[in-house]
Amino acid sequence: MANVAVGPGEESLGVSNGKLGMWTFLVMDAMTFAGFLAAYARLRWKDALIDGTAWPNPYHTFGVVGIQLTALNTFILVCSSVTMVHALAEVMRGNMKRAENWLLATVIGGLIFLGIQGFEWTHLISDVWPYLGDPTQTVPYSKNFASTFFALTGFHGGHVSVGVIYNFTLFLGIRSGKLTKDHGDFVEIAGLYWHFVDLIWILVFTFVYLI
Amino acid sequence: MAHKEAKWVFHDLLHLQYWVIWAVLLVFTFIEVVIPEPSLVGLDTFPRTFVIIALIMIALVKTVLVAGYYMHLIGDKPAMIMVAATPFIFSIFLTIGIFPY
Repeated sequence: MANVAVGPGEESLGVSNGKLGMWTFLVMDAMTFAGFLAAYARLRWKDALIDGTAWPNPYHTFGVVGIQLTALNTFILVCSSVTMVHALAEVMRGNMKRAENWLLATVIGGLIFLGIQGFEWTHLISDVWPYLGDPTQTVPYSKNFASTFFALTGFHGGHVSVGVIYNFTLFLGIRSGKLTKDHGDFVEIAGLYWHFVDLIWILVFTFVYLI
Repeated sequence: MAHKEAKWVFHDLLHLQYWVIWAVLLVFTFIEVVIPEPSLVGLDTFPRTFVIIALIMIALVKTVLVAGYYMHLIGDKPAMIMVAATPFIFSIFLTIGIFPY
């Protein structure tokens, strides 16, 4: 299904320049995440016998409830991805009111994700890794665990925040009537970004929380 | 007119496909949570190697599903698929390169 949406703009390589531009950005962004994940794997690859460098079992550190909460967050992000594809489908149908509702649902999904992540960060900083606020405290494992956790989830959370603003802008555009069914390309490009955020979370969730 | 109706039918099928992929992603997410802690469903612990390989394989399948069906890469132009696959090739070389083998 090539070029699912028809929109304004010139074309290169058989796709709109806007879509090609977003893909180029996403490739660059994926390489940044690849660097983060590879660095995480390398830092984790330590001799457990060297005192203070052992890597904890994430499942035990976060706790079963913590993992299940993050799994719920993953569920919410997947749901917001499906609401995003429905928004695009409705724009293509010309049913802008329904597209507006789907986009609003996507924005709400993103906000819930960020809210749960904020709650999780607060809990981890104050209860699980107290040395972050009090240098006299310590943990019996590598502090790189917390560092890489915050770097990866924080970088991803930043992307979610940008995605929420991006989708909310489109929502306002549809609501005001400035975006019509002829602007399907705009929603498709925003969708690419949002699905990419979902895709990256699948990898972050697996590597940081589960393995 | 017939072409227009065919397009609507195609969109309806697309809607169904989105929900099917959504359900598959949810099932995989549930399996992912259970694999490292099988006691949640009353099973014994799996070997560590199996856990790591299974989790990575599931994550890759989920990634392909999102990229293929939600980002519409399936059926997109081969050039676009190659562009999208570039970071994965890069990440394999990067990971091999920085490991102390």
